[in-house]
Amino acid sequence: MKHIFRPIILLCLVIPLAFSCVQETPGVLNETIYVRHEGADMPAYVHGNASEKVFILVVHGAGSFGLAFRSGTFTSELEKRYAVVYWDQRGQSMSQGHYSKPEDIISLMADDMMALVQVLRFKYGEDIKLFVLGHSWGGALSATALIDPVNQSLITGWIEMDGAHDFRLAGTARRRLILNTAAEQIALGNQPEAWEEIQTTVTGLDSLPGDDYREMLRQAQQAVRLLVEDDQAEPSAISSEELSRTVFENNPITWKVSDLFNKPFIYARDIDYSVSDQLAQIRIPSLLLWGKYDISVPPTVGYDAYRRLSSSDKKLVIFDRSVHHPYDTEKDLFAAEVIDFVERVK
Amino acid sequence: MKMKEPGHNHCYHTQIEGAGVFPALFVSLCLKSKFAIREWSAYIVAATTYFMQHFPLGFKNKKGCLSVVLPILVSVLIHTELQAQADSTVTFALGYYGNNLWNTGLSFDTDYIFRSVSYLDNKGRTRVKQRSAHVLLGGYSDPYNYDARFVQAGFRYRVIKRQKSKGLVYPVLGVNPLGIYRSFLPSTYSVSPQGTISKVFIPGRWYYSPSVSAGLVKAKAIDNPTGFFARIHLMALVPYNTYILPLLNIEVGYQFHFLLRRK
Repeated sequence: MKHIFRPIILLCLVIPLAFSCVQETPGVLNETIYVRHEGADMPAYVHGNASEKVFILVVHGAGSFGLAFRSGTFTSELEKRYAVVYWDQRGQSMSQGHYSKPEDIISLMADDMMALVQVLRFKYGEDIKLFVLGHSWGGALSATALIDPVNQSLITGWIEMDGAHDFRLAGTARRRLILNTAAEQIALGNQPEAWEEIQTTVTGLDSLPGDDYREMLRQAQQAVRLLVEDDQAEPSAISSEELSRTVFENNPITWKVSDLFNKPFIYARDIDYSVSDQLAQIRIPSLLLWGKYDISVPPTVGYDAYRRLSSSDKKLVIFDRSVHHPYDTEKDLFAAEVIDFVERVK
Repeated sequence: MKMKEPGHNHCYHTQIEGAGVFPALFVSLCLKSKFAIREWSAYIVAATTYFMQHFPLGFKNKKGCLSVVLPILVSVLIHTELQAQADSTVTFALGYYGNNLWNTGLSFDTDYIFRSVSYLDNKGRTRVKQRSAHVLLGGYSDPYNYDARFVQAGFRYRVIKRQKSKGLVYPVLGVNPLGIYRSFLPSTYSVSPQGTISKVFIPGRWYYSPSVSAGLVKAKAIDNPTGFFARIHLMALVPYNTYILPLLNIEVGYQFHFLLRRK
């Protein structure tokens, strides 16, 4: 009978691990819901203070996932005041389901976002004040959804952060930004030889998607590295909180494999996707946040969007020491701008 | 349903109360054969017939896949149960089943060794090659996202070197061509193209889930495989989104050995 006790002890140790408890605070949401739309089951992680019925829906960028944002100011500032909804898009991270590859993936994903908006209103009340915060690819998706006036009527405000709503403009502006930055840094005497090398290489590259695209990105990465080394930009470091969310709350294998099979931004890049011409249809309050050294989606795209938007309440903020993730590199300024915008508009 | 004891190897007399409940199975069991492959075929045909009669979904919709996969799994269970009535080695295993190590779960496994061959290698040492069929029931919980339950059936292969010292450790390779997996999601709201919202009843998805596994067993002896085991499973969920999703799972547990003697 001795051998019977070993597995019993083992089970006694293991079974408690399968259970956990969460202490609930009134008005504070900590829940996961799924939205089923057109064959996809997409998770939305809702966290934060819902007492004022203000919700911020985070639309993540390409290759990312909703909970990747749930650290730093999102937890320390935004969740204290508002309920933040971290959404995994179709085919990304923990989303699952069965569906064939759609012809127009961008429109479908924009519809997915609006399906989530409807569910949030259904679950938390028609009177919620809902803000959409789109980062990078998420900026393109949210812009696509919001050019429809009906969709705008369901959203209180739009926050676009380094949004890729114009791939062609981003491509040409990227090349120009690298060259301008190189000239600026050479003038400052910051590693002139390295910057001259970048300048020479990028001058010979085509700015449009094609054979030169990868080399352009490589040069962009090199430029960012030099900027950080010379203390011109803040490094985007992964915090332990972010790492924990990536590994334990989000399944890293599922995330990476899903990303491998579903890359809607590549489709958008290949067709030079742009909604710039339709941005004038957006009339809701809008806040545009851009990193000065964002070589992925340069600030030129933000300036262009600011000029085109028809919103009477619109603001463009440039983060002088940021690249593509101002929420991570200039946390306090990011939180202050978002809170100021939400408080003014809600 | 009552089953009488087997008359001789691979030959069973089956009496079924309430004729018509399981007619197809009754017919198949009457097809006594000395060849396991024919026996297996009979079970599969019988169970498929039964399920197609009672769940006539076919491949017309996704749920219809159940009526094809389930009978095959049931066939494996029936086969194992009937074979266990012979003088045979059956192990039952209980283990920790972890998806990505930390998504905790449990597994229950029954394994029937249907072929065991001893031979001497070039150095004169005794080796034993074993093949077995097994059914694995398991589940785990990803606490932030979903729960999962699955059933898998397949075969294992072992090469055991006889050791003079007490106990032995040997590798086990497994392949599970049959498997069905169900995810269970938290509150799920379905939005129709017309914009109608409804709450989904028992939300989740079915997936075909074959897998391969490799592991080690620390057993007491060749004819007494009671002991600890550890396995790594590479499972695939198909179709997942537009393609496939691989899952890396680990299983650690303890297996109990039963030598079932034929009366």
